[in-house]
Amino acid sequence: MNLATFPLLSILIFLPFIGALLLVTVPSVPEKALYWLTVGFAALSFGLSLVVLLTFADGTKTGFYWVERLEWVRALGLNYQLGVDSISAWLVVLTTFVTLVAVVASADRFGNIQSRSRFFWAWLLVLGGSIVGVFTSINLLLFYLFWELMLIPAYFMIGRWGATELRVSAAIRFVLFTLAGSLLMLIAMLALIFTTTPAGAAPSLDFMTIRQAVTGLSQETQRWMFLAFAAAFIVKVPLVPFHSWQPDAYVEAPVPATVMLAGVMSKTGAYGFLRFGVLLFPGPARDFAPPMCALALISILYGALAALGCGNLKRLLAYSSLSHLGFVVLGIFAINSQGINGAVLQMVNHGITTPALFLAAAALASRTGTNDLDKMGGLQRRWPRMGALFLILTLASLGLPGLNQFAGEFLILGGAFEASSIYAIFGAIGVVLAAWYMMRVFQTVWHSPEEPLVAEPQVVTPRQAVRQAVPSTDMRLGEYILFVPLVVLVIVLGVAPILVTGVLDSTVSDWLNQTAALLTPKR
Amino acid sequence: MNLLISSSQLFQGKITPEDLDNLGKIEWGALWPAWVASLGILLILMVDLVLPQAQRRLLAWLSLLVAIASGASTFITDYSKTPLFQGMVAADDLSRFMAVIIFGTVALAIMASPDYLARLGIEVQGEYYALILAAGCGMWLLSIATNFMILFVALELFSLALYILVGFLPRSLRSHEAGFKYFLLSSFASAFMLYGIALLFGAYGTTSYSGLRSQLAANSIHSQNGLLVLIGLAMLSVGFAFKISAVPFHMWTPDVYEGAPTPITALMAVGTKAAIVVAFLRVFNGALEPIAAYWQPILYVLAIITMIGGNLLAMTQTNVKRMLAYSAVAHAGYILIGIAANNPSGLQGVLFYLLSYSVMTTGAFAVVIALEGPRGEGLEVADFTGLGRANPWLAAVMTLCLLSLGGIPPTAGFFGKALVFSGAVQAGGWQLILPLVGAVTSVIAVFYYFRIVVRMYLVDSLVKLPLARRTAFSLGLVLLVAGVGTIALGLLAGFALNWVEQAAATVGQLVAISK
Repeated sequence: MNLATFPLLSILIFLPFIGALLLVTVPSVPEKALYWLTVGFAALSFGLSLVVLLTFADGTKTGFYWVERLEWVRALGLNYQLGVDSISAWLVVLTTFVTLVAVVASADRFGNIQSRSRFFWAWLLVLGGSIVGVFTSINLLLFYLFWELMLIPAYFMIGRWGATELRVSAAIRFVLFTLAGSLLMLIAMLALIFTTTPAGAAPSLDFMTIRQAVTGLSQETQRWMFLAFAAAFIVKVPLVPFHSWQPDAYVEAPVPATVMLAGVMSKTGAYGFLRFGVLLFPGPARDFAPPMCALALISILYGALAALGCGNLKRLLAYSSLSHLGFVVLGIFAINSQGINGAVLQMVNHGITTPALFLAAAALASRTGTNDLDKMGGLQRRWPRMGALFLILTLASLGLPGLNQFAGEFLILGGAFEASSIYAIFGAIGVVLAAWYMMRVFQTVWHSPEEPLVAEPQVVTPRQAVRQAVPSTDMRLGEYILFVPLVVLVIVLGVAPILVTGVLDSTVSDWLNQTAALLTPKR
Repeated sequence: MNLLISSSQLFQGKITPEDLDNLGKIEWGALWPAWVASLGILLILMVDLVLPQAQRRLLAWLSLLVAIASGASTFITDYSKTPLFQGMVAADDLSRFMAVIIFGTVALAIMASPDYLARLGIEVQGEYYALILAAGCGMWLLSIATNFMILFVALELFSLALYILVGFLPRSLRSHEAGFKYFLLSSFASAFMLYGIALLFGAYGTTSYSGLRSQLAANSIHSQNGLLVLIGLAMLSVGFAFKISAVPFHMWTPDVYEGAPTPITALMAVGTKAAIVVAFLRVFNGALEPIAAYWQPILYVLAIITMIGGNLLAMTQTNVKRMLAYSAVAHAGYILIGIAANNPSGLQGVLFYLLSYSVMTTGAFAVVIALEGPRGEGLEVADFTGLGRANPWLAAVMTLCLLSLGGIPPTAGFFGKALVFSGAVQAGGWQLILPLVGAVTSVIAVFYYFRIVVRMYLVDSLVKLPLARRTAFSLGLVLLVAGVGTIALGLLAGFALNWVEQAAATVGQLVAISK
């Protein structure tokens, strides 16, 4: 196999699309077969993505690998150019992994019966494929295409299979918010075409070309462009005050979709900040680091406080996700090796913990019929094993040393401290708050004196009726199969974060060196 | 009309021996599409007389054949690239491009018609198809005109055909009203345009684009005739703004689009707009290029208020046909961005926009045609409820076209929008406001386009509507072409753009070649 020409990345992107097409077009096949077909496609993608990651296993490779390039639309500098460095390689693996988890979880044995539809599975695969596209595009406009493509599957998953009547407005709000941000990015990209292309030359928005060319622009132009790009990423991450689409979208979306949104789609925003913010516009990124860090800190604290005051488990997790993503952005805008390493590590870790938490919450809700914290209590005696699962995930989420989120947050805070001690101080407050709200949840649900779970006569719509269908037992076999790998990852990455950072380190320092080299002749 | 030019040239003593030679040289080949269409019209009218009632449906296929032949015939001759008939019409890549767009649209409108007319109980068909072809012929002539006289005659040719077609539904008061409204307002606009032309003629004694351009380039606008030129420019702008339905001259659009038979609405929304836009390009970016600094601000303001007004008004509509009408207004705004940019990127953007706009708009209207009931019911947004289940293919085409209209990649509409924006970005300076407004209004547009998508997929339908009506074969073909075109123009935008690039280059060349 010739590594230079084999289109592995294209296969990773379009394999799910083929799977989706198959799902939608095959005539009447038993639903079970379709489910396993979907699982098969997701598993195959995951397996192939491991090959991508193994490319970087020796931990010394820098720059882009598996590069593919085809000219597409000349006038817009759009080339079909794919490639991964070790940063995106980890995110690609994360994406295919979370897609697999989401697909497996979208069966009724996990209480997610509302999402049991071949169309839902098709959209799930499409979303996974487009997110891989986002992480592997190294042409700006191609990145934009995949970036927008993500909207469509996410929109349909939230809007069609969402929980309540609010789902349509949540879906629309999600689309409009994201679109508004990304259109500004589009205009900045167009401006890049004309400001960086010498007269008579063919325009090109390839990442490496533009990266060189950007340094030739005036500081002011660069600043405006950086802000336009940042608009898209701020909305996508999201950062306060552009987050208002997020809790509703996460809560309304069926759990497998939430897993995708919180697990990987939110990372696309952070990844954008890293690749097309800090690395593409090093000058403005440094100038705007203080306000960006401030926004990140506000998100951390706001998310944590909102989670603290939240009575709905799913919404609480959404706010906690907001808070954790703040850490990632804080790490990126520390603009040093520690911070960026920590940010990527945290993206991977958060991408494992958050889906696990949302799935655990769904498993719990399928037993209790509610997400309402007030209605749950003292469940430890009833379902001890599930309690243990929650305990591990809770501890992981609040950053206990030895579990996965600790290393990432620690590195981020270290990087932030290097940038300014103030960032680290406020960031640390966020960590404390995280411990508070997560422990509060754990105590209320599992340890406070048991109140009888009142089987309230609910307004039974077809969407909700399903919830009661699952018998209330402790963890079942299917759930073990789903959760054990996640818990193992939580522990393994907690004990040995070097698995991630070892691969990242050389790439991150290489990028930072290059960035410094680009900046010096100007100053 | 030839006399007009020669007399004006005689006045100025500029006639040369070559001009006299050219006087006798007429290149008929350049007008193949028009010849084929005109002969086709006669043929259809005659066949209509002899064909028994039961086989009238053949007329549709015959006229389809004529439309396709007209479009294809443009590839027969190798164009000389110089204006022909003493500078009356252009024979260049843009003409060829327009022949494809306009006769393609005509063909699609024809294919969408038989089923629709049968459903509405309209038996008379011969003149219907003949008029559509006449309108197409006029639109194409408008787009290749390089002389104001041809421009005006072509304008009247297709307008007259459309007046009748808009009011074609015999039992629909709304259709009659629409026809009459279109007639009144359109004549009003034509009068403005004619007055503008007259003033320009008064200033420089020529009606040819190239003559006007060289005069404008040679003479300062501050000279004696400057005022005439400026007033003429204003009049011309009003006329064109009316025809392209830019805010605040858009009032006729929703009523006419709503009242007209839906295939005709599609024809007007796509064909007429494309023809007018290209005439716009040839007049403003071609003939009036030397005074671009005077008309750019006009278009700048028009573009902004058209984008904002069109999209805001579309947001409040509950009738899909009206919503698409306002969306057509809004799209005129996006097109104006490219025209105002007045640079190669902008021109290419406009032409690519026309290409993408024709497939996606035709597709959306074709879905509307498929759903429309015999008395014009089934046109409310609410009537689309549950279409995703009842008729997944129809819903899929509609979704695709709406995504494209909203400018979501990787559809054709995205590239159109991106290219037009890139023109304005390249122009830079105050023009940067245009893509920003465009971006904001695109978000609004996605909101109302998605209202239909929400209805089709996200709202559980309680009532079974007659959505499951079988789509006729010919209409299915239209849907197929539009759906495939919307995706293909996006994925293969590179190839389409090469062609568009050649076509766009000719707008500027107009004067470089002729003197």
